Amino acid sequence: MKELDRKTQLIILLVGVGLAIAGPLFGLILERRTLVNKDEIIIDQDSQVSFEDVYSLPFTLKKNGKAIIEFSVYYENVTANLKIFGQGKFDGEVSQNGTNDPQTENGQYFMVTTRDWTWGPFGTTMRLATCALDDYYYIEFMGDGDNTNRIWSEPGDYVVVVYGANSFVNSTTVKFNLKVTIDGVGPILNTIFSIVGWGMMVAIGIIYVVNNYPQKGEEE
Amino acid sequence: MPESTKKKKTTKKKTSKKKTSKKKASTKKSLPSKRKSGGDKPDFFDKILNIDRKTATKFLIKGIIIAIIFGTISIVSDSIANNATDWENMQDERNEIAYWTGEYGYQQYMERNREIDVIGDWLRFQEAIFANIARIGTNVGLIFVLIAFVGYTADKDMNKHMRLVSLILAGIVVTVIMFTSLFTNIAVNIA
Repeated sequence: MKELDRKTQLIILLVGVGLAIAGPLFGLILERRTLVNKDEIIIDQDSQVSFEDVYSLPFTLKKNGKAIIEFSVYYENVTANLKIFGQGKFDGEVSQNGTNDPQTENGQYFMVTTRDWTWGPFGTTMRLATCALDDYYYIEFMGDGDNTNRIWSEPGDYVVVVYGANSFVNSTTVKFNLKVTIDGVGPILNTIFSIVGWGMMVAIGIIYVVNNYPQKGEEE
Repeated sequence: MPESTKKKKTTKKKTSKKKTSKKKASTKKSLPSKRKSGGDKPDFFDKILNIDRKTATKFLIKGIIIAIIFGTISIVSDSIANNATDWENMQDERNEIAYWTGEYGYQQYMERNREIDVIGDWLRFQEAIFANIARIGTNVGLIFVLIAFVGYTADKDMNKHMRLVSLILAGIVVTVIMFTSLFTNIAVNIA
Protein backbone atom coordinates (compact mmCIF):
# COMPACT_ATOMS: atom_id res chain seq x y z
CA MET A 1 0.00 0.00 0.00
CA LYS A 2 1.27 3.47 -0.85
CA GLU A 3 2.50 5.36 2.20
CA LEU A 4 1.09 8.80 2.99
CA ASP A 5 3.65 11.58 2.70
CA ARG A 6 4.24 14.06 5.50
CA LYS A 7 2.24 16.85 3.86
CA THR A 8 -0.86 14.68 3.43
CA GLN A 9 -0.54 13.47 7.02
CA LEU A 10 -0.33 17.06 8.24
CA ILE A 11 -3.38 18.09 6.21
CA ILE A 12 -5.43 15.16 7.56
CA LEU A 13 -4.30 16.01 11.10
CA LEU A 14 -5.29 19.67 10.71
CA VAL A 15 -8.67 18.75 9.19
CA GLY A 16 -9.23 16.36 12.10
CA VAL A 17 -8.39 19.05 14.66
CA GLY A 18 -10.64 21.50 12.80
CA LEU A 19 -13.58 19.08 12.80
CA ALA A 20 -13.07 18.24 16.49
CA ILE A 21 -13.22 21.97 17.31
CA ALA A 22 -16.04 22.74 14.87
CA GLY A 23 -18.26 19.93 16.22
CA PRO A 24 -19.07 21.48 19.60
CA LEU A 25 -19.29 24.96 18.01
CA PHE A 26 -21.86 23.82 15.44
CA GLY A 27 -23.58 21.87 18.19
CA LEU A 28 -24.02 25.05 20.20
CA ILE A 29 -24.94 27.37 17.31
CA LEU A 30 -27.37 25.00 15.60
CA GLU A 31 -28.80 23.46 18.78
CA ARG A 32 -32.22 24.96 18.06
CA ARG A 33 -33.91 25.92 14.81
CA THR A 34 -36.02 29.07 14.84
CA LEU A 35 -39.32 28.74 12.99
CA VAL A 36 -40.57 32.20 13.79
CA ASN A 37 -39.25 35.13 15.81
CA LYS A 38 -41.53 38.03 15.17
CA ASP A 39 -42.96 41.01 17.01
CA GLU A 40 -46.35 42.52 16.16
CA ILE A 41 -47.96 39.63 14.33
CA ILE A 42 -51.39 40.91 13.38
CA ILE A 43 -54.60 38.90 13.08
CA ASP A 44 -58.26 39.85 13.21
CA GLN A 45 -60.54 39.16 16.12
CA ASP A 46 -62.65 37.00 13.80
CA SER A 47 -60.04 34.40 14.66
CA GLN A 48 -62.03 33.73 17.83
CA VAL A 49 -64.82 32.14 15.89
CA SER A 50 -63.15 30.88 12.74
CA PHE A 51 -60.28 28.43 12.33
CA GLU A 52 -59.56 29.96 8.93
CA ASP A 53 -58.72 33.33 10.50
CA VAL A 54 -56.37 32.14 13.24
CA TYR A 55 -52.61 32.51 13.13
CA SER A 56 -51.20 29.02 12.58
CA LEU A 57 -47.66 27.70 12.51
CA PRO A 58 -47.14 24.01 11.68
CA PHE A 59 -44.11 22.14 12.95
CA THR A 60 -42.89 18.58 13.39
CA LEU A 61 -41.58 16.99 16.57
CA LYS A 62 -39.26 14.01 16.53
CA LYS A 63 -38.89 11.47 19.33
CA ASN A 64 -38.05 13.36 22.53
CA GLY A 65 -38.18 16.58 20.49
CA LYS A 66 -39.27 19.81 22.09
CA ALA A 67 -40.76 23.04 20.82
CA ILE A 68 -40.03 26.14 22.87
CA ILE A 69 -42.51 28.94 22.47
CA GLU A 70 -42.20 32.48 23.81
CA PHE A 71 -45.54 34.23 23.60
CA SER A 72 -46.24 37.80 24.69
CA VAL A 73 -48.53 40.78 24.20
CA TYR A 74 -47.36 44.35 24.69
CA TYR A 75 -50.39 46.10 23.21
CA GLU A 76 -53.34 47.67 24.97
CA ASN A 77 -56.85 46.22 24.74
CA VAL A 78 -55.53 43.03 23.15
CA THR A 79 -56.11 39.56 24.55
CA ALA A 80 -54.38 36.81 22.59
CA ASN A 81 -54.82 33.10 23.20
CA LEU A 82 -52.45 30.32 22.25
CA LYS A 83 -53.32 26.66 21.77
CA ILE A 84 -51.47 23.77 20.16
CA PHE A 85 -53.41 21.28 18.08
CA GLY A 86 -52.40 18.10 16.35
CA GLN A 87 -52.11 18.61 12.58
CA GLY A 88 -54.97 16.17 11.92
CA LYS A 89 -57.39 17.90 14.26
CA PHE A 90 -56.44 21.34 12.95
CA ASP A 91 -56.93 20.30 9.32
CA GLY A 92 -60.29 18.81 10.24
CA GLU A 93 -61.43 21.96 11.97
CA VAL A 94 -60.33 24.14 9.03
CA SER A 95 -62.18 21.94 6.55
CA GLN A 96 -65.41 22.13 8.52
CA ASN A 97 -64.95 25.83 9.23
CA GLY A 98 -67.70 27.36 11.30
CA THR A 99 -68.81 24.14 12.95
CA ASN A 100 -66.41 24.58 15.89
CA ASP A 101 -64.44 27.64 16.93
CA PRO A 102 -60.92 27.77 18.41
CA GLN A 103 -62.27 28.90 21.77
CA THR A 104 -64.28 25.75 22.38
CA GLU A 105 -61.81 23.18 21.05
CA ASN A 106 -59.25 21.71 23.44
CA GLY A 107 -55.62 21.63 22.40
CA GLN A 108 -52.67 19.56 23.62
CA TYR A 109 -51.09 20.10 27.02
CA PHE A 110 -47.90 22.12 27.27
CA MET A 111 -45.63 23.22 30.11
CA VAL A 112 -45.52 26.83 31.25
CA THR A 113 -42.51 27.86 33.30
CA THR A 114 -42.74 30.51 36.00
CA ARG A 115 -39.34 31.50 37.30
CA ASP A 116 -39.71 32.32 40.94
CA TRP A 117 -36.46 32.60 42.90
CA THR A 118 -38.34 32.26 46.20
CA TRP A 119 -39.48 28.73 45.49
CA GLY A 120 -37.81 25.81 43.81
CA PRO A 121 -38.22 25.34 40.06
CA PHE A 122 -41.67 24.32 38.98
CA GLY A 123 -43.86 24.33 35.90
CA THR A 124 -47.59 24.24 35.23
CA THR A 125 -49.31 22.34 32.44
CA MET A 126 -51.95 24.19 30.43
CA ARG A 127 -53.93 23.77 27.26
CA LEU A 128 -54.56 27.48 26.81
CA ALA A 129 -52.22 30.43 27.34
CA THR A 130 -54.13 33.69 27.56
CA CYS A 131 -51.96 36.75 27.14
CA ALA A 132 -53.14 40.29 27.96
CA LEU A 133 -51.12 43.48 28.20
CA ASP A 134 -47.48 42.86 29.17
CA ASP A 135 -47.97 39.15 29.78
CA TYR A 136 -45.25 36.72 28.80
CA TYR A 137 -45.29 32.92 28.57
CA TYR A 138 -42.36 30.55 28.27
CA ILE A 139 -43.83 27.33 26.91
CA GLU A 140 -42.29 23.91 26.38
CA PHE A 141 -44.20 21.45 24.22
CA MET A 142 -43.33 17.81 23.58
CA GLY A 143 -46.56 16.41 22.12
CA ASP A 144 -48.88 15.95 25.06
CA GLY A 145 -49.22 15.94 28.82
CA ASP A 146 -51.89 16.03 31.51
CA ASN A 147 -53.21 18.29 34.22
CA THR A 148 -50.75 17.01 36.84
CA ASN A 149 -47.90 19.26 35.68
CA ARG A 150 -46.15 16.80 33.43
CA ILE A 151 -45.62 16.55 29.71
CA TRP A 152 -44.16 13.78 27.61
CA SER A 153 -42.89 13.11 24.14
CA GLU A 154 -45.37 12.28 21.41
CA PRO A 155 -43.63 12.73 18.06
CA GLY A 156 -45.75 14.02 15.20
CA ASP A 157 -47.04 17.08 13.35
CA TYR A 158 -48.55 19.91 15.35
CA VAL A 159 -49.84 23.43 14.80
CA VAL A 160 -49.46 26.48 17.05
CA VAL A 161 -52.70 28.42 16.88
CA VAL A 162 -53.22 31.99 18.11
CA TYR A 163 -56.56 33.77 18.20
CA GLY A 164 -57.72 36.78 20.15
CA ALA A 165 -59.87 39.84 20.66
CA ASN A 166 -59.50 43.58 20.89
CA SER A 167 -61.64 45.29 23.52
CA PHE A 168 -61.32 48.73 21.90
CA VAL A 169 -64.48 49.51 19.94
CA ASN A 170 -62.71 51.05 16.97
CA SER A 171 -60.23 48.24 16.41
CA THR A 172 -60.51 44.59 15.57
CA THR A 173 -56.81 43.84 15.20
CA VAL A 174 -55.00 41.51 17.57
CA LYS A 175 -51.25 42.04 17.86
CA PHE A 176 -48.88 39.66 19.61
CA ASN A 177 -45.23 38.56 19.69
CA LEU A 178 -44.20 35.00 19.02
CA LYS A 179 -40.97 33.03 18.95
CA VAL A 180 -40.98 29.31 18.20
CA THR A 181 -37.90 27.11 18.12
CA ILE A 182 -37.56 23.36 17.65
CA ASP A 183 -34.59 21.00 17.96
CA GLY A 184 -31.89 21.73 15.42
CA VAL A 185 -29.24 19.61 13.77
CA GLY A 186 -26.52 20.84 16.15
CA PRO A 187 -26.25 17.75 18.38
CA ILE A 188 -26.11 15.42 15.33
CA LEU A 189 -23.44 17.57 13.66
CA ASN A 190 -21.51 17.71 16.92
CA THR A 191 -21.49 13.93 17.19
CA ILE A 192 -20.55 13.35 13.52
CA PHE A 193 -17.85 16.05 13.42
CA SER A 194 -16.35 14.95 16.74
CA ILE A 195 -16.22 11.26 15.77
CA VAL A 196 -14.75 11.99 12.32
CA GLY A 197 -12.30 14.60 13.68
CA TRP A 198 -11.01 12.46 16.54
CA GLY A 199 -10.98 9.41 14.26
CA MET A 200 -8.74 11.25 11.78
CA MET A 201 -6.38 12.33 14.57
CA VAL A 202 -6.13 8.81 15.96
CA ALA A 203 -5.64 7.34 12.46
CA ILE A 204 -2.80 9.79 11.72
CA GLY A 205 -1.26 8.95 15.09
CA ILE A 206 -1.32 5.23 14.28
CA ILE A 207 0.09 5.83 10.77
CA TYR A 208 2.88 7.98 12.26
CA VAL A 209 3.81 5.33 14.82
CA VAL A 210 3.75 2.53 12.25
CA ASN A 211 5.91 4.52 9.81
CA ASN A 212 8.45 5.74 12.34
CA TYR A 213 8.99 2.73 14.55
CA PRO A 214 10.51 -0.14 12.56
CA GLN A 215 9.53 -3.67 13.36
CA LYS A 216 11.97 -6.31 14.62
CA GLY A 217 14.58 -7.16 12.01
CA GLU A 218 14.23 -3.81 10.28
CA GLU A 219 16.41 -1.85 12.70
CA GLU A 220 19.54 -2.04 10.60
CA MET B 1 61.67 -20.68 22.58
CA PRO B 2 63.08 -24.07 23.72
CA GLU B 3 61.08 -27.17 22.84
CA SER B 4 60.68 -28.29 26.45
CA THR B 5 58.77 -25.13 27.38
CA LYS B 6 56.54 -25.54 24.30
CA LYS B 7 55.64 -29.05 25.41
CA LYS B 8 54.88 -27.80 28.91
CA LYS B 9 52.52 -25.16 27.49
CA THR B 10 50.68 -27.67 25.35
CA THR B 11 50.23 -29.99 28.35
CA LYS B 12 48.90 -27.02 30.39
CA LYS B 13 46.37 -26.25 27.67
CA LYS B 14 45.26 -29.87 27.65
CA THR B 15 44.80 -29.89 31.43
CA SER B 16 42.85 -26.63 31.33
CA LYS B 17 40.58 -28.07 28.61
CA LYS B 18 40.00 -31.09 30.81
CA LYS B 19 39.13 -28.80 33.72
CA THR B 20 36.61 -26.82 31.67
CA SER B 21 34.96 -30.00 30.44
CA LYS B 22 34.72 -31.16 34.04
CA LYS B 23 33.14 -27.83 34.99
CA LYS B 24 30.62 -28.17 32.17
CA ALA B 25 29.77 -31.63 33.40
CA SER B 26 29.25 -30.36 36.94
CA THR B 27 26.96 -27.52 35.77
CA LYS B 28 25.01 -29.99 33.65
CA LYS B 29 24.35 -32.03 36.73
CA SER B 30 22.92 -29.04 38.63
CA LEU B 31 20.65 -28.01 35.76
CA PRO B 32 17.04 -29.23 35.60
CA SER B 33 16.29 -32.25 33.43
CA LYS B 34 14.86 -30.25 30.54
CA ARG B 35 18.03 -28.23 30.14
CA LYS B 36 20.23 -31.32 30.16
CA SER B 37 18.55 -32.68 27.07
CA GLY B 38 20.37 -30.23 24.80
CA GLY B 39 18.24 -28.32 22.29
CA ASP B 40 15.11 -28.02 24.51
CA LYS B 41 14.37 -24.56 25.82
CA PRO B 42 14.39 -24.12 29.61
CA ASP B 43 10.89 -23.76 31.02
CA PHE B 44 9.54 -20.58 32.60
CA PHE B 45 10.36 -21.52 36.19
CA ASP B 46 13.95 -22.48 35.32
CA LYS B 47 14.32 -19.09 33.73
CA ILE B 48 13.10 -17.41 36.93
CA LEU B 49 15.49 -19.40 39.12
CA ASN B 50 18.43 -18.74 36.82
CA ILE B 51 18.00 -15.02 36.24
CA ASP B 52 21.07 -12.99 37.04
CA ARG B 53 21.09 -10.11 39.48
CA LYS B 54 20.84 -7.45 36.78
CA THR B 55 17.77 -9.03 35.22
CA ALA B 56 16.22 -9.43 38.67
CA THR B 57 16.78 -5.74 39.37
CA LYS B 58 15.19 -4.89 36.01
CA PHE B 59 12.16 -6.99 36.99
CA LEU B 60 12.02 -5.20 40.33
CA ILE B 61 12.07 -1.73 38.74
CA LYS B 62 9.52 -2.69 36.07
CA GLY B 63 7.26 -4.26 38.68
CA ILE B 64 7.40 -1.20 40.92
CA ILE B 65 6.68 1.16 38.00
CA ILE B 66 3.72 -0.97 36.85
CA ALA B 67 2.38 -1.16 40.42
CA ILE B 68 2.75 2.60 40.89
CA ILE B 69 0.97 3.40 37.60
CA PHE B 70 -1.98 1.10 38.32
CA GLY B 71 -2.03 2.14 41.97
CA THR B 72 -2.29 5.77 40.87
CA ILE B 73 -5.15 4.88 38.50
CA SER B 74 -6.93 3.20 41.41
CA ILE B 75 -6.43 6.19 43.71
CA VAL B 76 -7.61 8.68 41.06
CA SER B 77 -10.65 6.53 40.31
CA ASP B 78 -11.45 6.30 44.02
CA SER B 79 -11.09 10.06 44.43
CA ILE B 80 -13.42 10.73 41.48
CA ALA B 81 -16.01 8.35 42.93
CA ASN B 82 -15.76 9.96 46.38
CA ASN B 83 -16.24 13.44 44.94
CA ALA B 84 -19.15 12.46 42.68
CA THR B 85 -21.76 13.67 45.17
CA ASP B 86 -20.08 17.07 45.50
CA TRP B 87 -19.98 17.32 41.71
CA GLU B 88 -23.70 16.47 41.59
CA ASN B 89 -24.52 19.14 44.18
CA MET B 90 -22.60 21.76 42.22
CA GLN B 91 -24.26 20.78 38.93
CA ASP B 92 -27.69 20.86 40.60
CA GLU B 93 -27.02 24.42 41.76
CA ARG B 94 -25.86 25.42 38.29
CA ASN B 95 -28.95 23.78 36.82
CA GLU B 96 -31.23 25.79 39.09
CA ILE B 97 -29.40 29.02 38.30
CA ALA B 98 -29.70 28.31 34.56
CA TYR B 99 -33.44 27.69 35.06
CA TRP B 100 -34.01 30.85 37.08
CA THR B 101 -32.00 33.05 34.75
CA GLY B 102 -34.15 31.92 31.84
CA GLU B 103 -31.63 29.79 29.98
CA TYR B 104 -34.21 27.02 29.81
CA GLY B 105 -37.58 25.97 31.16
CA TYR B 106 -38.85 23.54 33.76
CA GLN B 107 -38.97 20.49 31.48
CA GLN B 108 -35.41 21.12 30.34
CA TYR B 109 -34.44 21.64 33.99
CA MET B 110 -35.86 18.23 34.89
CA GLU B 111 -34.15 16.57 31.93
CA ARG B 112 -30.82 18.11 32.94
CA ASN B 113 -31.47 16.94 36.51
CA ARG B 114 -31.78 13.35 35.32
CA GLU B 115 -28.65 13.69 33.19
CA ILE B 116 -26.74 14.90 36.27
CA ASP B 117 -28.02 11.87 38.21
CA VAL B 118 -26.85 9.49 35.49
CA ILE B 119 -23.42 11.10 35.19
CA GLY B 120 -23.11 11.10 39.00
CA ASP B 121 -23.94 7.40 39.09
CA TRP B 122 -21.39 6.76 36.35
CA LEU B 123 -18.72 8.71 38.26
CA ARG B 124 -19.38 6.43 41.23
CA PHE B 125 -19.62 3.25 39.19
CA GLN B 126 -16.43 3.83 37.19
CA GLU B 127 -14.54 2.87 40.35
CA ALA B 128 -15.80 -0.70 40.02
CA ILE B 129 -14.34 -0.90 36.50
CA PHE B 130 -11.10 1.02 36.88
CA ALA B 131 -10.27 -0.23 40.37
CA ASN B 132 -10.59 -3.83 39.15
CA ILE B 133 -8.41 -3.11 36.11
CA ALA B 134 -5.93 -1.39 38.44
CA ARG B 135 -6.03 -4.40 40.75
CA ILE B 136 -5.10 -6.74 37.89
CA GLY B 137 -2.33 -4.35 36.79
CA THR B 138 -0.96 -3.98 40.31
CA ASN B 139 -0.92 -7.73 40.76
CA VAL B 140 1.01 -8.11 37.49
CA GLY B 141 3.50 -5.53 38.79
CA LEU B 142 3.76 -7.38 42.10
CA ILE B 143 4.38 -10.65 40.23
CA PHE B 144 7.34 -8.92 38.54
CA VAL B 145 8.58 -7.83 41.99
CA LEU B 146 8.09 -11.38 43.27
CA ILE B 147 10.13 -12.79 40.39
CA ALA B 148 12.90 -10.30 41.19
CA PHE B 149 13.03 -11.32 44.86
CA VAL B 150 12.91 -15.02 43.99
CA GLY B 151 15.76 -14.32 41.56
CA TYR B 152 17.78 -12.66 44.34
CA THR B 153 17.04 -15.57 46.68
CA ALA B 154 18.23 -18.12 44.11
CA ASP B 155 21.44 -16.18 43.42
CA LYS B 156 24.19 -18.17 45.19
CA ASP B 157 26.71 -15.36 44.77
CA MET B 158 24.65 -13.03 46.92
CA ASN B 159 25.11 -12.40 50.60
CA LYS B 160 23.40 -15.05 52.74
CA HIS B 161 21.45 -12.50 54.77
CA MET B 162 20.36 -10.60 51.70
CA ARG B 163 19.04 -13.83 50.20
CA LEU B 164 17.08 -14.49 53.37
CA VAL B 165 15.67 -10.95 53.34
CA SER B 166 14.74 -11.40 49.66
CA LEU B 167 12.94 -14.64 50.50
CA ILE B 168 10.99 -12.94 53.29
CA LEU B 169 10.10 -10.03 50.97
CA ALA B 170 9.01 -12.49 48.27
CA GLY B 171 6.76 -14.13 50.88
CA ILE B 172 5.29 -10.77 51.84
CA VAL B 173 4.62 -9.93 48.18
CA VAL B 174 2.88 -13.28 47.70
CA THR B 175 0.74 -12.58 50.77
CA VAL B 176 -0.22 -9.15 49.41
CA ILE B 177 -1.12 -10.66 46.02
CA MET B 178 -3.20 -13.35 47.72
CA PHE B 179 -5.05 -10.82 49.83
CA THR B 180 -5.80 -8.48 46.92
CA SER B 181 -6.85 -11.40 44.70
CA LEU B 182 -8.96 -13.37 47.14
CA PHE B 183 -10.71 -10.60 49.03
CA THR B 184 -13.00 -8.19 47.23
CA ASN B 185 -13.37 -4.89 48.94
CA ILE B 186 -14.41 -2.90 45.88
CA ALA B 187 -18.08 -2.16 46.28
CA VAL B 188 -20.09 0.68 44.78
CA ASN B 189 -23.39 1.81 46.26
CA ILE B 190 -25.67 3.66 43.89
CA ALA B 191 -28.66 5.14 45.63
